[in-house]
Amino acid sequence: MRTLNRMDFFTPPPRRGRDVAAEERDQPPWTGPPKDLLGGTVAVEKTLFQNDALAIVLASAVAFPENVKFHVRLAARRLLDEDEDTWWERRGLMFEGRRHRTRPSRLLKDEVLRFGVRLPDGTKATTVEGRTHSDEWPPPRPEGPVLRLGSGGGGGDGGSDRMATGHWNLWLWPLPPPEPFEFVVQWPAFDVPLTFTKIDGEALATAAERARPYWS
Amino acid sequence: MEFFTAPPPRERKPEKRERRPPWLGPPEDFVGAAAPLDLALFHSETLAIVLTDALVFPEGVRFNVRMAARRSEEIDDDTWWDRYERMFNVHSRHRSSLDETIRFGIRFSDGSKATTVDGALDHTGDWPPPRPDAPVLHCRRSGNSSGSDDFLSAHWPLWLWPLPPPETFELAVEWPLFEVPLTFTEIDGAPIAAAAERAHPYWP
Repeated sequence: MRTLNRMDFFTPPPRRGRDVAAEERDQPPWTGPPKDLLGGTVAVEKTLFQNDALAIVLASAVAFPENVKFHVRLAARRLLDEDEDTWWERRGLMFEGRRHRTRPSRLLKDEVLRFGVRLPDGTKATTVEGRTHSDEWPPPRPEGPVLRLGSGGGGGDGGSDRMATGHWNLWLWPLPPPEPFEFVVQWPAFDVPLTFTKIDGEALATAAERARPYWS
Repeated sequence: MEFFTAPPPRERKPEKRERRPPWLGPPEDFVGAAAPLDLALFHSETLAIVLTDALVFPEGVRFNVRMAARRSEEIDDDTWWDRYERMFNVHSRHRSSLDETIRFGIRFSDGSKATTVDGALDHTGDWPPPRPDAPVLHCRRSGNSSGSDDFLSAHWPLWLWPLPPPETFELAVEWPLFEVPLTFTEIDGAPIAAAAERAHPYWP
Protein backbone atom coordinates (compact mmCIF):
# COMPACT_ATOMS: atom_id res chain seq x y z
CA MET A 1 0.00 0.00 0.00
CA ARG A 2 1.39 3.32 -0.99
CA THR A 3 2.02 5.64 1.89
CA LEU A 4 0.50 9.03 1.30
CA ASN A 5 2.27 12.06 2.49
CA ARG A 6 -0.57 13.50 4.53
CA MET A 7 0.61 17.04 4.12
CA ASP A 8 0.14 16.75 0.39
CA PHE A 9 -3.20 15.02 0.32
CA PHE A 10 -5.43 18.02 -0.14
CA THR A 11 -3.63 20.27 -2.48
CA PRO A 12 -5.08 23.39 -4.02
CA PRO A 13 -5.67 23.33 -7.75
CA PRO A 14 -3.11 25.07 -9.88
CA ARG A 15 -4.02 28.62 -10.65
CA ARG A 16 -5.64 28.63 -14.04
CA GLY A 17 -3.98 30.59 -16.72
CA ARG A 18 -5.35 33.90 -17.80
CA ASP A 19 -6.57 32.30 -21.01
CA VAL A 20 -9.12 30.11 -19.33
CA ALA A 21 -10.52 32.86 -17.17
CA ALA A 22 -10.64 35.23 -20.10
CA GLU A 23 -12.38 32.60 -22.16
CA GLU A 24 -15.01 32.24 -19.50
CA ARG A 25 -15.50 35.96 -19.45
CA ASP A 26 -15.68 36.26 -23.23
CA GLN A 27 -18.67 34.01 -23.40
CA PRO A 28 -20.72 34.30 -26.57
CA PRO A 29 -23.54 36.83 -26.16
CA TRP A 30 -26.22 34.18 -26.68
CA THR A 31 -25.22 32.70 -23.33
CA GLY A 32 -25.71 35.92 -21.41
CA PRO A 33 -24.87 39.58 -21.18
CA PRO A 34 -21.21 40.57 -20.93
CA LYS A 35 -19.84 40.72 -17.42
CA ASP A 36 -16.99 43.10 -18.10
CA LEU A 37 -18.94 45.83 -19.87
CA LEU A 38 -20.93 48.69 -18.46
CA GLY A 39 -24.18 48.96 -20.36
CA GLY A 40 -26.32 51.96 -21.19
CA THR A 41 -29.31 52.34 -18.86
CA VAL A 42 -32.72 53.21 -20.30
CA ALA A 43 -35.76 54.23 -18.29
CA VAL A 44 -38.63 52.19 -19.71
CA GLU A 45 -41.30 52.42 -16.97
CA LYS A 46 -44.01 50.58 -18.85
CA THR A 47 -46.75 48.76 -17.00
CA LEU A 48 -47.03 45.37 -18.66
CA PHE A 49 -50.08 44.32 -16.67
CA GLN A 50 -52.08 45.61 -13.75
CA ASN A 51 -55.22 44.67 -11.86
CA ASP A 52 -56.28 45.19 -8.26
CA ALA A 53 -54.08 42.40 -6.99
CA LEU A 54 -50.98 42.45 -9.17
CA ALA A 55 -48.81 44.88 -11.11
CA ILE A 56 -46.00 43.92 -13.49
CA VAL A 57 -43.81 46.80 -14.63
CA LEU A 58 -40.89 46.81 -17.06
CA ALA A 59 -38.93 49.36 -15.06
CA SER A 60 -35.67 49.77 -16.94
CA ALA A 61 -33.27 48.16 -19.36
CA VAL A 62 -29.51 48.06 -19.72
CA ALA A 63 -28.29 47.78 -23.30
CA PHE A 64 -25.08 46.29 -24.61
CA PRO A 65 -23.90 45.91 -28.19
CA GLU A 66 -25.39 42.43 -28.43
CA ASN A 67 -27.68 42.04 -25.44
CA VAL A 68 -30.26 43.79 -23.36
CA LYS A 69 -30.99 43.25 -19.69
CA PHE A 70 -34.53 43.98 -18.60
CA HIS A 71 -35.47 44.81 -15.05
CA VAL A 72 -39.05 43.88 -14.25
CA ARG A 73 -40.77 44.72 -10.99
CA LEU A 74 -43.67 42.80 -9.54
CA ALA A 75 -46.02 44.14 -6.91
CA ALA A 76 -48.81 42.19 -5.24
CA ARG A 77 -51.51 43.85 -3.20
CA ARG A 78 -53.75 42.05 -0.75
CA LEU A 79 -57.41 42.30 -1.68
CA LEU A 80 -59.92 43.44 0.94
CA ASP A 81 -61.66 40.08 0.96
CA GLU A 82 -58.48 38.01 0.79
CA ASP A 83 -57.89 36.10 3.99
CA GLU A 84 -54.46 35.82 5.50
CA ASP A 85 -53.72 32.27 4.47
CA THR A 86 -54.67 32.91 0.86
CA TRP A 87 -52.58 36.08 0.80
CA TRP A 88 -49.47 34.37 2.16
CA GLU A 89 -49.91 31.44 -0.17
CA ARG A 90 -50.25 33.78 -3.12
CA ARG A 91 -47.13 35.68 -2.08
CA GLY A 92 -45.19 32.45 -1.95
CA LEU A 93 -46.39 31.34 -5.35
CA MET A 94 -45.69 34.70 -6.91
CA PHE A 95 -42.30 35.47 -5.50
CA GLU A 96 -40.41 32.26 -4.86
CA GLY A 97 -37.78 32.27 -7.55
CA ARG A 98 -37.42 28.55 -7.82
CA ARG A 99 -41.01 28.16 -8.94
CA HIS A 100 -40.29 30.13 -12.05
CA ARG A 101 -36.79 28.95 -12.80
CA THR A 102 -37.98 25.41 -13.10
CA ARG A 103 -37.33 22.26 -15.07
CA PRO A 104 -38.53 21.89 -18.65
CA SER A 105 -41.51 19.67 -17.81
CA ARG A 106 -42.92 22.36 -15.53
CA LEU A 107 -42.27 25.45 -17.61
CA LEU A 108 -45.80 25.71 -18.98
CA LYS A 109 -47.60 25.17 -15.68
CA ASP A 110 -50.14 27.89 -14.98
CA GLU A 111 -48.27 29.14 -11.92
CA VAL A 112 -45.02 29.77 -13.80
CA LEU A 113 -44.56 33.38 -14.87
CA ARG A 114 -44.01 33.67 -18.62
CA PHE A 115 -42.15 36.45 -20.39
CA GLY A 116 -41.45 36.83 -24.08
CA VAL A 117 -40.44 39.21 -26.82
CA ARG A 118 -41.79 39.43 -30.35
CA LEU A 119 -39.45 41.22 -32.71
CA PRO A 120 -40.41 43.23 -35.81
CA ASP A 121 -39.38 40.38 -38.13
CA GLY A 122 -41.87 38.12 -36.40
CA THR A 123 -39.31 36.04 -34.53
CA LYS A 124 -39.88 35.50 -30.85
CA ALA A 125 -38.20 34.25 -27.72
CA THR A 126 -39.78 33.25 -24.42
CA THR A 127 -38.57 32.30 -20.98
CA VAL A 128 -40.54 29.07 -21.08
CA GLU A 129 -39.39 27.47 -24.28
CA GLY A 130 -36.58 25.60 -22.54
CA ARG A 131 -33.00 25.41 -23.56
CA THR A 132 -31.65 23.46 -26.45
CA HIS A 133 -29.14 21.29 -24.74
CA SER A 134 -25.76 21.08 -26.27
CA ASP A 135 -22.68 19.40 -24.97
CA GLU A 136 -20.49 21.90 -26.69
CA TRP A 137 -19.05 24.88 -24.92
CA PRO A 138 -19.47 27.46 -26.04
CA PRO A 139 -22.87 26.38 -27.35
CA PRO A 140 -23.43 27.08 -31.04
CA ARG A 141 -25.17 30.22 -32.16
CA PRO A 142 -28.93 29.67 -31.91
CA GLU A 143 -31.25 30.13 -34.87
CA GLY A 144 -33.41 32.75 -33.22
CA PRO A 145 -33.41 35.19 -30.33
CA VAL A 146 -32.92 34.04 -26.76
CA LEU A 147 -34.69 35.40 -23.67
CA ARG A 148 -33.74 34.08 -20.27
CA LEU A 149 -34.54 34.74 -16.65
CA GLY A 150 -31.49 35.98 -14.82
CA SER A 151 -31.38 36.81 -11.16
CA GLY A 152 -34.47 37.71 -9.22
CA GLY A 153 -37.72 36.23 -8.20
CA GLY A 154 -36.97 37.29 -4.71
CA GLY A 155 -38.72 39.78 -2.58
CA GLY A 156 -42.18 39.13 -1.33
CA ASP A 157 -41.03 40.35 2.04
CA GLY A 158 -41.05 43.76 3.54
CA GLY A 159 -43.52 46.40 2.61
CA SER A 160 -46.57 46.24 4.74
CA ASP A 161 -49.03 43.48 5.45
CA ARG A 162 -50.91 44.59 2.39
CA MET A 163 -48.17 44.61 -0.23
CA ALA A 164 -45.27 42.59 -1.41
CA THR A 165 -42.83 43.36 -4.19
CA GLY A 166 -40.12 41.57 -6.06
CA HIS A 167 -38.17 41.79 -9.25
CA TRP A 168 -36.87 39.78 -12.17
CA ASN A 169 -33.87 40.43 -14.31
CA LEU A 170 -34.10 39.02 -17.81
CA TRP A 171 -31.66 39.15 -20.66
CA LEU A 172 -32.22 39.07 -24.39
CA TRP A 173 -29.90 38.25 -27.26
CA PRO A 174 -29.47 39.85 -29.71
CA LEU A 175 -30.02 43.56 -29.24
CA PRO A 176 -33.35 44.26 -30.98
CA PRO A 177 -33.31 46.52 -34.06
CA PRO A 178 -33.96 50.25 -33.54
CA GLU A 179 -37.71 49.90 -34.04
CA PRO A 180 -40.69 49.13 -31.83
CA PHE A 181 -40.95 45.53 -30.67
CA GLU A 182 -43.19 43.78 -28.20
CA PHE A 183 -42.61 42.60 -24.67
CA VAL A 184 -44.97 39.81 -23.72
CA VAL A 185 -46.25 38.52 -20.39
CA GLN A 186 -48.73 35.85 -19.37
CA TRP A 187 -49.48 34.28 -15.99
CA PRO A 188 -52.51 32.00 -16.15
CA ALA A 189 -52.61 31.18 -12.44
CA PHE A 190 -52.99 34.87 -11.63
CA ASP A 191 -55.36 35.91 -14.40
CA VAL A 192 -52.72 37.64 -16.49
CA PRO A 193 -53.81 37.03 -20.07
CA LEU A 194 -51.36 36.96 -22.97
CA THR A 195 -50.47 40.67 -23.06
CA PHE A 196 -48.29 42.52 -25.55
CA THR A 197 -46.65 45.88 -24.77
CA LYS A 198 -44.82 48.00 -27.32
CA ILE A 199 -41.27 48.88 -26.39
CA ASP A 200 -39.07 51.46 -28.08
CA GLY A 201 -36.18 49.58 -29.65
CA GLU A 202 -34.55 52.78 -30.78
CA ALA A 203 -33.92 53.93 -27.22
CA LEU A 204 -32.23 50.62 -26.52
CA ALA A 205 -30.05 50.88 -29.61
CA THR A 206 -28.98 54.40 -28.62
CA ALA A 207 -28.20 53.27 -25.09
CA ALA A 208 -26.18 50.32 -26.42
CA GLU A 209 -23.80 52.82 -28.01
CA ARG A 210 -22.96 54.08 -24.53
CA ALA A 211 -21.82 50.62 -23.42
CA ARG A 212 -18.12 50.46 -22.69
CA PRO A 213 -15.66 48.16 -20.96
CA TYR A 214 -14.53 48.97 -17.44
CA TRP A 215 -11.03 49.03 -18.89
CA SER A 216 -10.48 49.92 -22.51
CA MET B 1 -48.74 9.01 18.78
CA GLU B 2 -48.98 12.77 18.56
CA PHE B 3 -45.50 14.09 18.89
CA PHE B 4 -45.53 17.08 16.64
CA THR B 5 -48.55 19.13 17.42
CA ALA B 6 -49.52 22.37 15.80
CA PRO B 7 -49.33 25.57 17.84
CA PRO B 8 -52.58 27.16 18.98
CA PRO B 9 -53.96 29.66 16.47
CA ARG B 10 -52.42 33.07 16.94
CA GLU B 11 -54.55 36.02 17.68
CA ARG B 12 -54.11 38.02 14.53
CA LYS B 13 -53.77 41.63 15.41
CA PRO B 14 -55.70 43.84 13.04
CA GLU B 15 -53.17 46.67 12.86
CA LYS B 16 -50.87 46.79 9.92
CA ARG B 17 -47.15 46.47 10.14
CA GLU B 18 -45.62 49.88 9.81
CA ARG B 19 -44.39 50.95 6.43
CA ARG B 20 -40.63 51.32 6.37
CA PRO B 21 -39.70 54.97 6.90
CA PRO B 22 -38.19 56.63 3.81
CA TRP B 23 -34.83 57.31 5.42
CA LEU B 24 -34.23 53.59 5.61
CA GLY B 25 -34.87 52.78 2.01
CA PRO B 26 -37.07 53.19 -1.02
CA PRO B 27 -40.87 52.94 -0.65
CA GLU B 28 -42.02 49.51 -1.68
CA ASP B 29 -45.32 50.72 -3.04
CA PHE B 30 -43.75 53.05 -5.59
CA VAL B 31 -42.33 52.47 -9.05
CA GLY B 32 -39.04 54.33 -9.12
CA ALA B 33 -37.84 56.22 -12.19
CA ALA B 34 -34.43 55.47 -13.70
CA ALA B 35 -31.98 58.30 -14.43
CA PRO B 36 -28.89 57.19 -16.40
CA LEU B 37 -25.73 58.82 -15.03
CA ASP B 38 -22.64 56.92 -16.34
CA LEU B 39 -20.09 58.62 -14.08
CA ALA B 40 -16.68 57.20 -13.26
CA LEU B 41 -16.10 57.65 -9.52
CA PHE B 42 -12.64 56.08 -9.42
CA HIS B 43 -10.47 54.34 -11.94
CA SER B 44 -7.10 52.65 -11.64
CA GLU B 45 -5.41 49.78 -13.40
CA THR B 46 -7.02 47.30 -11.05
CA LEU B 47 -10.18 48.86 -9.66
CA ALA B 48 -13.02 50.72 -11.35
CA ILE B 49 -15.95 52.28 -9.50
CA VAL B 50 -18.76 53.64 -11.64
CA LEU B 51 -22.07 55.31 -10.85
CA THR B 52 -24.18 53.78 -13.59
CA ASP B 53 -27.62 55.19 -12.87
CA ALA B 54 -30.01 56.24 -10.16
CA LEU B 55 -33.45 54.94 -9.26
CA VAL B 56 -35.40 57.93 -8.06
CA PHE B 57 -38.40 58.25 -5.73
CA PRO B 58 -40.16 61.32 -4.37
CA GLU B 59 -38.32 61.12 -1.05
CA GLY B 60 -34.96 59.70 -1.96
CA VAL B 61 -32.69 58.21 -4.52
CA ARG B 62 -30.90 54.93 -4.92
CA PHE B 63 -27.54 55.33 -6.59
CA ASN B 64 -26.45 52.20 -8.44
CA VAL B 65 -22.70 51.92 -8.06
CA ARG B 66 -20.90 49.17 -9.90
CA MET B 67 -17.43 48.12 -8.95
CA ALA B 68 -15.05 45.95 -10.94
CA ALA B 69 -11.66 44.63 -9.95
CA ARG B 70 -9.12 43.06 -12.19
CA ARG B 71 -6.16 41.09 -11.04
CA SER B 72 -2.64 42.14 -11.71
CA GLU B 73 0.35 39.81 -11.70
CA GLU B 74 1.62 40.63 -8.25
CA ILE B 75 -1.64 39.91 -6.46
CA ASP B 76 -1.48 36.50 -4.83
CA ASP B 77 -4.45 34.19 -4.35
CA ASP B 78 -5.09 35.13 -0.73
CA THR B 79 -5.22 38.83 -1.50
CA TRP B 80 -7.42 38.27 -4.50
CA TRP B 81 -10.01 36.19 -2.66
CA ASP B 82 -9.91 38.51 0.33
CA ARG B 83 -10.70 41.29 -2.11
CA TYR B 84 -13.53 39.13 -3.45
CA GLU B 85 -15.00 38.85 0.02
CA ARG B 86 -14.74 42.54 0.70
CA MET B 87 -16.39 43.49 -2.54
CA PHE B 88 -19.32 41.27 -1.70
CA ASN B 89 -19.67 41.92 1.98
CA VAL B 90 -20.43 45.38 3.19
CA HIS B 91 -21.60 44.24 6.59
CA SER B 92 -18.12 43.31 7.65
CA ARG B 93 -18.00 46.96 8.69
CA HIS B 94 -18.40 45.89 12.29
CA ARG B 95 -15.54 43.42 12.14
CA SER B 96 -13.17 45.48 10.03
CA SER B 97 -11.19 48.55 10.81
CA LEU B 98 -12.35 51.76 9.26
CA ASP B 99 -9.59 51.58 6.63
CA GLU B 100 -10.83 48.24 5.37
CA THR B 101 -14.33 49.51 4.74
CA ILE B 102 -15.27 51.30 1.59
CA ARG B 103 -16.90 54.62 2.35
CA PHE B 104 -19.26 56.67 0.28
CA GLY B 105 -20.48 60.18 0.99
CA ILE B 106 -22.52 63.01 -0.41
CA ARG B 107 -21.43 66.63 -0.04
CA PHE B 108 -24.01 69.28 -0.81
CA SER B 109 -23.32 72.76 -2.10
CA ASP B 110 -23.92 74.22 1.37
CA GLY B 111 -21.13 72.07 2.75
CA SER B 112 -23.40 69.64 4.59
CA LYS B 113 -22.70 65.98 4.07
CA ALA B 114 -23.94 62.47 4.66
CA THR B 115 -21.68 59.44 4.65
CA THR B 116 -22.08 55.70 4.96
CA VAL B 117 -19.85 55.65 8.03
CA ASP B 118 -21.24 58.52 10.09
CA GLY B 119 -23.47 56.29 12.17
CA ALA B 120 -26.56 58.31 11.32
CA LEU B 121 -28.63 55.20 11.08
CA ASP B 122 -27.42 53.59 14.26
CA HIS B 123 -30.42 53.83 16.50
CA THR B 124 -31.69 52.60 19.80
CA GLY B 125 -33.81 49.86 18.40
CA ASP B 126 -37.05 51.78 18.60
CA TRP B 127 -39.47 51.14 15.82
CA PRO B 128 -40.06 53.17 13.88
CA PRO B 129 -36.59 54.66 14.26
CA PRO B 130 -36.57 58.40 14.95
CA ARG B 131 -36.55 60.69 11.94
CA PRO B 132 -32.98 61.90 11.35
CA ASP B 133 -32.51 65.65 11.32
CA ALA B 134 -29.98 65.60 8.49
CA PRO B 135 -29.61 63.72 5.19
CA VAL B 136 -28.56 60.10 5.46
CA LEU B 137 -26.66 57.87 3.07
CA HIS B 138 -27.07 54.16 3.47
CA CYS B 139 -24.99 51.51 1.77
CA ARG B 140 -26.87 48.32 1.00
CA ARG B 141 -25.16 45.63 -0.96
CA SER B 142 -27.16 43.67 -3.44
CA GLY B 143 -26.49 40.13 -4.54
CA ASN B 144 -25.80 41.03 -8.12
CA SER B 145 -22.16 40.23 -8.42
CA SER B 146 -19.88 37.86 -10.25
CA GLY B 147 -16.33 36.75 -9.88
CA SER B 148 -13.65 34.61 -11.32
CA ASP B 149 -9.93 34.08 -10.99
CA ASP B 150 -9.09 37.46 -12.38
CA PHE B 151 -12.18 39.62 -12.64
CA LEU B 152 -14.80 40.59 -10.13
CA SER B 153 -17.74 42.91 -10.35
CA ALA B 154 -20.28 43.89 -7.74
CA HIS B 155 -23.30 46.11 -7.40
CA TRP B 156 -23.41 48.53 -4.46
CA PRO B 157 -26.66 50.42 -4.12
CA LEU B 158 -26.59 53.58 -2.00
CA TRP B 159 -29.77 55.10 -0.60
CA LEU B 160 -29.83 58.86 -0.06
CA TRP B 161 -32.63 60.51 1.87
CA PRO B 162 -34.12 62.98 1.30
CA LEU B 163 -34.16 63.71 -2.43
CA PRO B 164 -31.24 66.04 -3.19
CA PRO B 165 -31.97 69.50 -4.59
CA PRO B 166 -31.88 70.00 -8.39
CA GLU B 167 -28.37 71.41 -8.34
CA THR B 168 -24.80 70.13 -8.42
CA PHE B 169 -23.59 68.07 -5.48
CA GLU B 170 -20.69 65.68 -4.98
CA LEU B 171 -20.39 61.96 -4.42
CA ALA B 172 -17.30 60.93 -2.49
CA VAL B 173 -15.61 57.56 -2.30
CA GLU B 174 -12.62 56.39 -0.31
CA TRP B 175 -11.15 52.95 0.31
CA PRO B 176 -7.74 53.05 1.96
CA LEU B 177 -7.31 49.28 1.90
CA PHE B 178 -7.44 49.31 -1.87
CA GLU B 179 -5.65 52.61 -2.35
CA VAL B 180 -8.67 54.57 -3.35
CA PRO B 181 -7.96 58.08 -2.08
CA LEU B 182 -10.77 60.42 -1.09
CA THR B 183 -12.21 61.24 -4.49
CA PHE B 184 -15.10 63.58 -5.28
CA THR B 185 -17.25 63.45 -8.39
CA GLU B 186 -19.77 66.11 -9.34
CA ILE B 187 -23.32 65.00 -9.92
CA ASP B 188 -25.96 67.10 -11.62
CA GLY B 189 -29.08 66.93 -9.49
CA ALA B 190 -31.36 68.15 -12.30
CA PRO B 191 -31.95 64.79 -14.05
CA ILE B 192 -32.52 63.21 -10.64
CA ALA B 193 -35.15 65.80 -9.74
CA ALA B 194 -36.75 65.31 -13.16
CA ALA B 195 -36.90 61.56 -12.67
CA ALA B 196 -38.54 62.03 -9.26
CA GLU B 197 -41.54 63.50 -11.05
CA ARG B 198 -42.03 60.25 -12.94
CA ALA B 199 -42.00 58.02 -9.86
CA HIS B 200 -45.52 56.90 -9.01
CA PRO B 201 -47.31 54.43 -6.75
CA TYR B 202 -48.20 51.06 -8.23
CA TRP B 203 -51.81 51.74 -7.22
CA PRO B 204 -52.73 55.42 -6.99
